[in-house]
Amino acid sequence: MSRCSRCNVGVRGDWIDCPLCGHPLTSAIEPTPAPWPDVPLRFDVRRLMRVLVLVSVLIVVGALLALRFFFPGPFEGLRLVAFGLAGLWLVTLTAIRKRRNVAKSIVYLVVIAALLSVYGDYLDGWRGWSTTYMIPITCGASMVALLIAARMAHMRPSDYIVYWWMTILLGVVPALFIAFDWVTNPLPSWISVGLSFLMLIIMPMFRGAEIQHELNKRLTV
Amino acid sequence: MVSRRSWVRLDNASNIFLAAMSSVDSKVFRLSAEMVDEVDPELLQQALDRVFDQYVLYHSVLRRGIFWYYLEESDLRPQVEPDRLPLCDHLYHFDRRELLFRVVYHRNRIALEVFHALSDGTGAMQVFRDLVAEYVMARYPGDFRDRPDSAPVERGLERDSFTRYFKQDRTDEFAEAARSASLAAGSRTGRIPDEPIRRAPPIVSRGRRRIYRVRGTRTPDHRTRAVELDMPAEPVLRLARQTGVSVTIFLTALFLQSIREVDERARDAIMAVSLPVDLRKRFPSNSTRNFFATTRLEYDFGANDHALPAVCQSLNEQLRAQTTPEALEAKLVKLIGFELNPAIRLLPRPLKDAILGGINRFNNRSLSVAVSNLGRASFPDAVDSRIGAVCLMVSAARPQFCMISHAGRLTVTFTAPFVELDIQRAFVRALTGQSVPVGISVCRVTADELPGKRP
Repeated sequence: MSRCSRCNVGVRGDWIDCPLCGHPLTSAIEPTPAPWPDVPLRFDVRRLMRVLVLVSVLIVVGALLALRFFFPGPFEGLRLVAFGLAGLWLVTLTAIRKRRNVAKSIVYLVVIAALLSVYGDYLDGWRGWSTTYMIPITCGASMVALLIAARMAHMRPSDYIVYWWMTILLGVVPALFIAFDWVTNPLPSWISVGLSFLMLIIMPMFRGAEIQHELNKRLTV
Repeated sequence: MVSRRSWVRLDNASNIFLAAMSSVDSKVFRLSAEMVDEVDPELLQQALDRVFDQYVLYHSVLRRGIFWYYLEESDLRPQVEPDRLPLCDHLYHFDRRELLFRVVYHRNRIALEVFHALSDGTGAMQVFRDLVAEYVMARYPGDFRDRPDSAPVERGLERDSFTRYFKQDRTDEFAEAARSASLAAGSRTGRIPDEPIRRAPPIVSRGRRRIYRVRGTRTPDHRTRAVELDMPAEPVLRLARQTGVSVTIFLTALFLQSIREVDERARDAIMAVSLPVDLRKRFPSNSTRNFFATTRLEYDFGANDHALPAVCQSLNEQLRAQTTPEALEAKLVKLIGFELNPAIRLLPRPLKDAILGGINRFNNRSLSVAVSNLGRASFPDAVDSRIGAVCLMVSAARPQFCMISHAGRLTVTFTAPFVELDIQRAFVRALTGQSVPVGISVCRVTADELPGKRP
């Protein structure tokens, strides 16, 4: 072990000066190795990600609000492109942020896409394309997408079942659009609702006990 | 069909570690032991596999529900790895499914790192003891040749591995292992029934006084700065006895004095130190979950004698008052009340996190340093001679030290989020000044210190 004569202490590892006081060490014939390896400094990706996400969300939300309050006008041309880019960025962010849980990311994406389309429809003067086409088609597709993703990623049923259940619930929402007559063409809504009911019938047959188990777990008070 | 996994909600006592976790403080602690020879990774893996099978709690992954975090039994298997991450690096990552501990080796050291929400020091020590014992038996089979093959059970490595292995209902087994230790102890002592929560009388009133806090330069990538002090236990014990206090109190007082010596601001300041006490000693329990209460000792250097014996006596009296059977029972009742409080239970998890985080920040403001003593590490006799110094360290939001002794060696490991080493220097010099031979190891944390970047 090397020694520091000022601190009167033995020092392990290949220090040249005393780590405590900086005084040169008298090195031993046989230095004792440090108990830990030297780990190189690392760049903290997580912090960068957090800042990037926050800044992105602020920019996107700012851009979307600006479309309504600062640059009102017909929903076409550059405005449409700006809206599309903002939406795309938001969707990409969600997909990246939730990449560790594909099932969860699908539910998030459905909700974000639905909200974006409603806002777009509003900017466009409420022509009803969001409730007629966008939301029912997104909801219907998400149920199928989740099953495909679950199969391709070899997910365990307990990991996606709650989210599958949520997509099914979301799939029933278009029934409200039909009830309130918010649709110009009822077919996409009917398809989404029909698909939901089909899934509702199928799912408990296979996975009833597991759904119960998962819900108990997540809702324990 | 895939079998359903068992799960248990995370108790509040453990929840606080999640709320207090940050990029600086990973809430991970490390137990390590020195072997005589270089560690053989393959044998260590075999030892880990055997021990892992016996501790179902360690199969847990942490997941998030609406109201609680919960521990869920997983089928992941741990892999021993060379030590190549910063000390006490994060074990729990948001949305990632991973085991809450890791086993690493470096040269002749075996280390177990554990996320504090899973287990406390005493709990983890059980696992570590079995791991090291299994490893030593595999590494030096010659030592054990004259013993029968079923030796591990006879050597007390596993109390009832038979019932553990052959119990039919694994769900019960996991639930039992993962159960909140304070609730379990409460149900045994029969103290749960809606007894009104009695508060422990405050020993030292906190008031609105300013408690001294150590300042420093954060390490560049927020890793923990560790300084390990290795010394013979005997001379330190003698010094403590001369002052008439325990080694813990003696070294704590020395710690406070060292801070006072190096920082002008601390000359007449009030310093407070948090010191956990293991509740298993008062309420016998085999649980490997978190089961401790914290005591808080303080000393006003402005109003009292600065000499070491005076500090020692004051801290000693405070600790004694806070660890009487009545005081500990009051602490346990408080912990249980905290677990069962309906208002807390109904709060959604993100709110719980925010509130616990707030409580934690408030507590931090009234603490200068922390100290933790795991006592003497004991291993089964047959393997004990093959094991050298044992070391305990914990990630830190403020300077703190952990101590543990084995084979006549006492290791005191300082950890801090800061680069500076003044306090540690003063502490070491105070010890060597009283002719305690000390050896130190310091982990490199800055670009200047790390190899390749040196001028």
